Amino acid sequence: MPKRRSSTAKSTSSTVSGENNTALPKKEDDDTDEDEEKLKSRLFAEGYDDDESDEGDNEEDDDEEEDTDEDDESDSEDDDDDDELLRESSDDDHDVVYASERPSHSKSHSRRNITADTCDSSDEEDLRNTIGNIPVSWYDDQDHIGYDWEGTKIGKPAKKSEIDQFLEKVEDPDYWRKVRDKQTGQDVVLTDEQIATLMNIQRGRYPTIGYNPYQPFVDFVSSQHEIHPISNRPEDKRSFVPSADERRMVGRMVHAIKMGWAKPKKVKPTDEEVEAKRYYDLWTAEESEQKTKTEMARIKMHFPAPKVALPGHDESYNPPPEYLLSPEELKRWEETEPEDRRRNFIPQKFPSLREVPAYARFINERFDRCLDLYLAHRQQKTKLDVDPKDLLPELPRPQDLHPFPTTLSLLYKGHTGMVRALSMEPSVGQLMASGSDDGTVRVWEIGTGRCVKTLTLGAPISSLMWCPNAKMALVAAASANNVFIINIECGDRLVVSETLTAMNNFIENSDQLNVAQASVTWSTVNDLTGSSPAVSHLKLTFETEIKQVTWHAKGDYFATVTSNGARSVVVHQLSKLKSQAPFQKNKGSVQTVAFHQTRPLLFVATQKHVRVYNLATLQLAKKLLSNIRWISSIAIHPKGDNLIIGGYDCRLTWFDLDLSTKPYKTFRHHKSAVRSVAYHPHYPLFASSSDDGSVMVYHGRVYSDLLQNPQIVPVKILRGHKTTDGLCVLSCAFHPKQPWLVTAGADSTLALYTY
Amino acid sequence: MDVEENAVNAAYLQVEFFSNQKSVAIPTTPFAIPDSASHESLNALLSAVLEQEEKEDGKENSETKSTPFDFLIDGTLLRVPLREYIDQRGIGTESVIRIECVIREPAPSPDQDIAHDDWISSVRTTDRYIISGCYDNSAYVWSRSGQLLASASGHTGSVKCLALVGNNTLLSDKQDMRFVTGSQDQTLMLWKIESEGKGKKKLKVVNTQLFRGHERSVECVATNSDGTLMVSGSFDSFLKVWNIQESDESTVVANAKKRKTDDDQSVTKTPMVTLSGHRDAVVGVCWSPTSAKEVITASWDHSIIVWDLELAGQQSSLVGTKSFTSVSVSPISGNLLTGSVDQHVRLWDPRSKEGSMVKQTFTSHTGWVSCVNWSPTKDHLFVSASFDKVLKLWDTRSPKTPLYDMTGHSDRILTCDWRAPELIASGGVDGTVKTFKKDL
Repeated sequence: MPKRRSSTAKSTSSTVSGENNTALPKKEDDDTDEDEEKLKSRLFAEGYDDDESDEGDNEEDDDEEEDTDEDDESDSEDDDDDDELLRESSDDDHDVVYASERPSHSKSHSRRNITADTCDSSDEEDLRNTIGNIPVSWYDDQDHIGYDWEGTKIGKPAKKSEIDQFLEKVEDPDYWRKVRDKQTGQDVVLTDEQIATLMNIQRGRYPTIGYNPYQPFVDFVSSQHEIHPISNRPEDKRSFVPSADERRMVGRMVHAIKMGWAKPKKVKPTDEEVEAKRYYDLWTAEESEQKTKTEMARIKMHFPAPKVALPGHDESYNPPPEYLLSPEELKRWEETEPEDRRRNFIPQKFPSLREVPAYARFINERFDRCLDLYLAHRQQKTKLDVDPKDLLPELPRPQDLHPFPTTLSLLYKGHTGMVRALSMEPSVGQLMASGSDDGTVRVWEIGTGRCVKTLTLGAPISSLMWCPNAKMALVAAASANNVFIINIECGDRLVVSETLTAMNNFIENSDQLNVAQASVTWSTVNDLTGSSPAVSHLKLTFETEIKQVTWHAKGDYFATVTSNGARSVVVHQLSKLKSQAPFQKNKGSVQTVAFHQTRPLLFVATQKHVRVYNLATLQLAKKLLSNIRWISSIAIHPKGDNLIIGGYDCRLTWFDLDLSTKPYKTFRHHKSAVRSVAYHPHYPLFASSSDDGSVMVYHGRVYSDLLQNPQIVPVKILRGHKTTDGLCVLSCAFHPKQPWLVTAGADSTLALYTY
Repeated sequence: MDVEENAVNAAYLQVEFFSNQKSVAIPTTPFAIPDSASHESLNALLSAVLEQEEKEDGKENSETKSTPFDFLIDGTLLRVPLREYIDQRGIGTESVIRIECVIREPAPSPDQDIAHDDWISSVRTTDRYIISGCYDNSAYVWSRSGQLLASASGHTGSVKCLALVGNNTLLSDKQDMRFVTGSQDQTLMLWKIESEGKGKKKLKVVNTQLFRGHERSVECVATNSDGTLMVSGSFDSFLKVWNIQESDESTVVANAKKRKTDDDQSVTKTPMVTLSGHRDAVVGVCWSPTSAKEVITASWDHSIIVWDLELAGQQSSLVGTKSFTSVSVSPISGNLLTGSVDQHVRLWDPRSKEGSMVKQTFTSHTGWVSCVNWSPTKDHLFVSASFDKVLKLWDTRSPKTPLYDMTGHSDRILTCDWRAPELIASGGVDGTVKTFKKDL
């Protein structure tokens, strides 16, 4: 009893004093002693001083060994209700536990135990009993349980009596965790960790405490493309040296193929192919055939049937009584026409669903439906969902199209009659000339409004144009039956003097002077009022009144339009003082003509059409069909491929000569007759002036890309003239360099619009 | 005070007056004034306060009493009621508004009205004369009192521009004043004003040099301060540099035909350098006040070019959106003023390289601004002439409202001048040169 006690005491605590301490060595087996020693050495190293008394215990140990072992043996065989499970399991798994972790002796002595466990190994403890890996039960009949290191027998520990076992069970709080080590016959107290391990095994968990089966996954070979190699190892030589083995192998294969030894593997027919051979699919052929148009339409035009309304209470086989028709209602229902009935059936009540009869009109309705579909099949209507705003062209904002003339800046006053004609000095743009009903031609300084020069021609001036040749200071002015080629004597002095000599040369060298040619007579004039007497001008006398005079861009040829029937258009050459009527017969009364800037084309506008004649071949090149009833003016784009025509019927049309003989765009912005149209020489601008007092300024951009149509945006309405006798803005012209517009009005003024 | 009594219902603002001018002593106590107060009522308040102070001091000073003030808030002239001003600029009404008081620019008073036979294209004021260029092909020299002293006729086209040679303030009485005229006849002429006989009233204008080379009418001309070089811009888009020294012989045309047979000693000169770069008429030219080699030109092609005459090339250029009509460079700050073919006067800083080139826009005219001129003495004053018949005196600190409108012309004003500090002159289509006396 005391022994046993002390042994338990020992196992519980090493710090128990006195008696127990002395008894302790006897109960200890080698195992624990070795542990102790080891532990001590460690503890000493840690500066921990252990009890000295343990030192001499080893010899005495042996005596007691057998007893305790036997006791434990019997102990283990007994089953206790308290810890039945644990003990059973611990018995069964004893070897496992033993091998994995050496049991320690005390729960309270956790520190010691833990250190003892960690520094121990199962190898060392096997040295004690050297029987090897054989069942211990083989020693059951012997009184020893094995042999120790030296070969001496290890006796069986004394068996404990029933009472001892019981007492131990009652007294020892650690009884439940004691396990008999069969190899040594010793009772081993399981540590907390071991118990926890056992518990884990029992419950089917991972035995190791704190083992996390779901470690954070380190994805070494990830899908991510790494820019650096995982290892820094240089590439093997073999990775870039062709493999000799492979070469040999391939060589052998090639040789085999050459010799015809290697044969391709026979492809085994798949199950489907086997099936297909066995059975003939009636429908596949049909499907694979090309579908007809109607079939495709049916497939494409699939659209679901309309949704049927959900059934209500009255459609129930067992409707609430209020849904059933009363006799009066039934009578009314029967009286009303089938089309007017609110519902096309009479709610009926059946005691159960079973008793609901088949729908009597099923076949009829189905037939009707099919008939409907056949006679009036549903047709898919493509709904046009277009925002009206999308149909409008996307016009840029006028603010983005600057510069264009916006404000009236200057009024040029001086004329006493309607100003009918206006022309800018080419290229420099310091001066402009205007011709008026008062019979004067005035030259203005544009920037200041100064009238530089006034020339009196006598009769009202209907048309006027500055010579486009910058080296000639000439103005052609049409006044009644005469056209004056005036040496204007303004601008560059050098140009003026050159003009003077050139004119004199023309006059001297020509024999056409004062000879009637094509109903025109050329003569010289020296006494023009307002001009210096030394300067001679040219005068062309016609039989009828002249409507228009216009220069060719080179400044040598000019054309006049009179109302003289067939010979209304006369083309003149200044350098030779020659005139000729190019047309024998005119198709209508010619309104206006214009020269093409670069090509030898003459645009002749009759009342409704514009005919384009090629002057080189003397053939009709094109006939433009304007929608205008009476053309008043035309202007040709400086690039030469576009044309605008203004008409007395308020219309303005834009022609793209490359595009069509019909107008590209027609505008009806004016409320009254369009009197004149003009293009700007550089800026993408054009303008039209009208009798309603307004001048419309348009942004008209022409693209060099032939595929892109001109972009035309009306940008500004300018007003500045007063209407006189139903006439207002009679002429307009753009400044050759600035985005400025000058208009000539019936109120005898000219107006400058700048931006 | 009566200001406060007048507006009982108005909200009150805390203001504090201060002045950087030494002659004005203004009490620094803050005042609460109604927000409807304009600069006139502020003036009344301030004069009352000053008067009271003087009484307390016991001295009578009639001068300060009558001195009107102008008020600057954050460097901008107050020209509208205080409330409006504060709303426009979002100034908080809680804080004390600091108002700077400056003595108001005295109003220019109309002085002379000199009638001509034709339009006036250019005018220059000097401390001795008023010189006007006229469309009747002549330039006229008038006394400051409006008497015709001499006329310079010789051009065969309208005189379009005029410039005094050199810095005429440095001239001694004995030296003859010279000026150049540019004309529509594509020539420039240098004239010398010589006194004829004994009396100072009689003058003779002698043409000493004739400059030929332009291909179109000469639109603008300027000379450098020492009177050796001249630049002229013309409608042919060229800028030409001329040597106007009498001793210079290098550019003289030897076999030039004498245009006149009478006692004409003029020599004909050709340009030293022709500078091309503008694409349209050069209408404004001025010599930089800071550098003797820099010339600034303004053109109809929307650009201002700073030329370096030593390199005979462009130094820098500023591009606007409108054609320019005139340019003036401040002799003090070096900033540029331009008039253009719209109603705005624009202030440019030619040295700024980034941000908006236009520093300020002055808007009040209703027609083209035909001419602008800086004040010769004050860096914030200038005059502008416009086709709307009004000459305006501006303060750069008040971009919306001019200081004074000088009316009187019955037609478009083509030119104005403020070379003499105390005299502003303008001339235009109505054929009169009007002068305005400006007290300093």
